Amino acid sequence: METSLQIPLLTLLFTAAVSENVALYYFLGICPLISISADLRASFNMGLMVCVVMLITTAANWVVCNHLLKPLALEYLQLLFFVSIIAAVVQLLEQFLDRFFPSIYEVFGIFLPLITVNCAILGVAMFAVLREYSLVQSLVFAAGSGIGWWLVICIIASVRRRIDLTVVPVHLGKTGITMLIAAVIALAFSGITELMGGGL
Amino acid sequence: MRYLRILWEGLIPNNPVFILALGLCSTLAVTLKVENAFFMAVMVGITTIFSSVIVAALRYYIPFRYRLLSYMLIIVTVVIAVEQILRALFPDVARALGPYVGLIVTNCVVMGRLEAYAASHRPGEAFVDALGVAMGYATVLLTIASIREFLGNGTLWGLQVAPDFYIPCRVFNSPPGAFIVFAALLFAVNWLRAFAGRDS
Repeated sequence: METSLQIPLLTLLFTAAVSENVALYYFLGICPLISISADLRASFNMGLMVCVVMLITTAANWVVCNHLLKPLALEYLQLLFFVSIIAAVVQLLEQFLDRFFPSIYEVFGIFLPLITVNCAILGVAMFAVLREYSLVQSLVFAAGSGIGWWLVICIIASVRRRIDLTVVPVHLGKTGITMLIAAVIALAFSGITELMGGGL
Repeated sequence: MRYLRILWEGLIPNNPVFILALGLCSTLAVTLKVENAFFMAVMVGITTIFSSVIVAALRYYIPFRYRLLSYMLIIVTVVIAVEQILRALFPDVARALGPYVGLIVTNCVVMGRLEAYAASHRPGEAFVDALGVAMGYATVLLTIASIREFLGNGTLWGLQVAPDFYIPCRVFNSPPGAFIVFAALLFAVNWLRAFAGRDS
């Protein structure tokens, strides 16, 4: 508790977005990263949607966990509540966009059901509770993680556009070459951490 | 005989990770040590088997429109039970796996089996199918974990197996190593499949 309170917010944001990136360091949300990244525009939109949903659900889950479950000693039901809240938030967001911003819904709507089963969303909410972050810290952590995921899926999609023009080993397939791209980008991201002094 | 074929289908021709590309997150995240991978595979297996049998037994009572929600609730219930048992019996392993135990909920291997098989078959068949898929998943997890632990530490399940002159290659302990090992294995599996296909 003491240590988590002392982390500067900027460090937290940078750590979550780059050096301990949610996709490349914790391996969360890999399935959509592999399948969606074939299309750059779709990747960009999906990443933006993940950012938005991640911020809302992490805040909602933090409030429920710290002000409902902990006082009632029901922490073992955490998982059930988190999954229900994420499903409910996504459903509400979908209806809200459909009702008030139909043009936005047309572009982003198809990604919302996919986000319900994105393990990055659930994982970030659970990390925030596990590390006993305060509400502000949780929000910064969620924003950093969301931006980090967005960044990674856009980079991978951009690289794949170039890869499409080249000849790759037949047996590697689309999944394999995307994994190798992710490996190289993960190396680059850990390189940035070293560049900043590695002490973050 | 028929049950044997169902079992074989899940193990090799329908292998959840390499052929169907499901459940990639945990495949990459928990394969640092063989011990962790083993416990993860067992827990995913138990979850798949129990939720498959429950869904198969209730298949006439689950309304089609709300089937995904019902599956989700069944999976969450099983995962909470498994997590509590793990915490009670093996607290060290539970701490090492951290939030990845809870993330079995969003592991698409489980949901995939429920939707594709258990929802339309008898409980006995669903049990065998889930067992086969669980064994296929465990095989992949243990293979990746063995390679990573051997190359990265020179150990297997914590025991020193590499000769003294072997210098551990630390990159396999880091996240990029996971992507590289996965891509290499995927290449090997696809190559073997193509090789076997040409023979017959």
